[in-house]
Amino acid sequence: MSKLSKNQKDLKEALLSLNRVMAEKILKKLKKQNSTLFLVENVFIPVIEDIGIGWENGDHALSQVYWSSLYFEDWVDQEINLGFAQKSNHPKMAIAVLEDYHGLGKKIVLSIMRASGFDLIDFGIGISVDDLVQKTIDEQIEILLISTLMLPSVLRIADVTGKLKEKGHEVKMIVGGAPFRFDRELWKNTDADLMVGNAGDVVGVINGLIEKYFR
Amino acid sequence: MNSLERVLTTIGQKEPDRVPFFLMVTMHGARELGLSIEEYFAKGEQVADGQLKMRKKYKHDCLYNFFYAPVEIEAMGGEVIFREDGPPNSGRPFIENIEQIEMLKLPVPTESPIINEVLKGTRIMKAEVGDSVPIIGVVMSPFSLPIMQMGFSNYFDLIFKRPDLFQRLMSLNENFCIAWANAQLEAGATAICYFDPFSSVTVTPKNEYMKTGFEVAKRTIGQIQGPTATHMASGRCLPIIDSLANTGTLIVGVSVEEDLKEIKDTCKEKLTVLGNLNGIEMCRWDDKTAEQKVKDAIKRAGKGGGFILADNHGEIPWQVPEEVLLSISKAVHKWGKYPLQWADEK
Repeated sequence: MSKLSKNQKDLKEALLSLNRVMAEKILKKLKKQNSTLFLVENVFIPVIEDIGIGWENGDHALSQVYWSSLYFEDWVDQEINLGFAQKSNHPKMAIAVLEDYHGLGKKIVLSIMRASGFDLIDFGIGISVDDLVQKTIDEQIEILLISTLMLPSVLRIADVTGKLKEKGHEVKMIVGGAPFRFDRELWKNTDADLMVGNAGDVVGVINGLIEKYFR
Repeated sequence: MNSLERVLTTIGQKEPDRVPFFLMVTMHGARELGLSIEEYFAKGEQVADGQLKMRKKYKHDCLYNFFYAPVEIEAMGGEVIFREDGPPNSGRPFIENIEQIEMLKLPVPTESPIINEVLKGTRIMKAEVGDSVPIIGVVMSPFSLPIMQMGFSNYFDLIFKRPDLFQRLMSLNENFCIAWANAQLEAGATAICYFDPFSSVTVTPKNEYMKTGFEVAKRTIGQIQGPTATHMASGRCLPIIDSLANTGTLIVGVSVEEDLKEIKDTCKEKLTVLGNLNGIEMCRWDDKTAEQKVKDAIKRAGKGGGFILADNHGEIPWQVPEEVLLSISKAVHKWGKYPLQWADEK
């Protein structure tokens, strides 16, 4: 787990205990000396990553990850209303829950990504392989995130990658969801480029991908 | 010893003749009968037949009347989506906004066709095995059911924003769950597996669990007229073991993400441990791996009784090959015989 500064630790504590008043107070104080962008990139994102790792290690609960990501998104929305301009120049991205109706992971990832300045298209839940392939091509998606909870859905991801290749559409694919945590080798069967073990890792993984393939 | 005697001995925290072994196979019964998963679960007599055939093949110590997770949802008029290669899932939640709970009414379980198929299957199994094999009935806990009734995020909102409506939903679900569990016991189930993943610390922090899932479980389990096993369906539970014991449950189904020895030591004399083979990894095990995993689990938790070997989720994935299940069974019968002298050897 990364070492957090005192400010980061205080914010983390406020988020984990669902104490919005405390979180507001901490952020208000920090804003006097820092820009919103600085707070997003150097305070919020490391804290969210840390909470995600804590969940993966069994130290925190999913409800805490959910509320933290939602608070992060709400806070950034407030800042946007106050004039904060997010970055908009990044590869075109989308997220979907493949053949599966469990949408919580997607919702958390969307909140974290949007709050971190990434604009994602939401392809929704329960999408079939063919629909996902078609939408990815139609929307000219360059980075595709696929969330799954059920093992049979995981096993269909390779069909998505295969069909996209067949159709000559270049896309970087990131997968995540419970089955990948229970079998760390499983994601390799999907032909995806990367796997994220928890939603908190997604911003770092996307930034790494952009740095490597899109700069 | 027959299977029931073996299980009762281990629950009594004593060593039986062999480590009891619950192979929680559900969909594999469809393969035995040459049916699709949807066809198989349409009739209770088919599930009973599948369970009996699988027990004969894999030589495990229980029969399992579990059809699929959204049985309660189907009984409540919700949507169930079948697929050819995995467990049926609940579809669009029937509680679309929190305010609906104010006027919500739930049916009487035994008026539902799917519930009656489960009960029919249970009666057939009971007639076949009598008191020689435990028949495990299943309920979704009132606290975990809303994941399917309203979706995860709406449920988080309900708990934290509308405690009044949360209490109302719990009250409705508790009544349903108690009636459903007792109907299964009356039909011949020996014990009820109380699936409660939302109570695991993977989902809910301990302090919140104590105010919510714990109270619900205590009230509900207290009114189920037979023994219960609380199953976390892959979720972690080590920090709440003592509280789980205080709900009145006898057995806890534990996650592969936690150390089985630590769990066993914490459960000592309070709860019997059920677990914790990794069902997802199991899909790619070979004979040697299966034997090693079984040996490891028995070595970590078998001594002194209080342990039933099983998978960690309460449902073996459809993708796990028959050969792997046979290898697991062979290994339990080879390495599970008490006393476990080999487990002390370095």
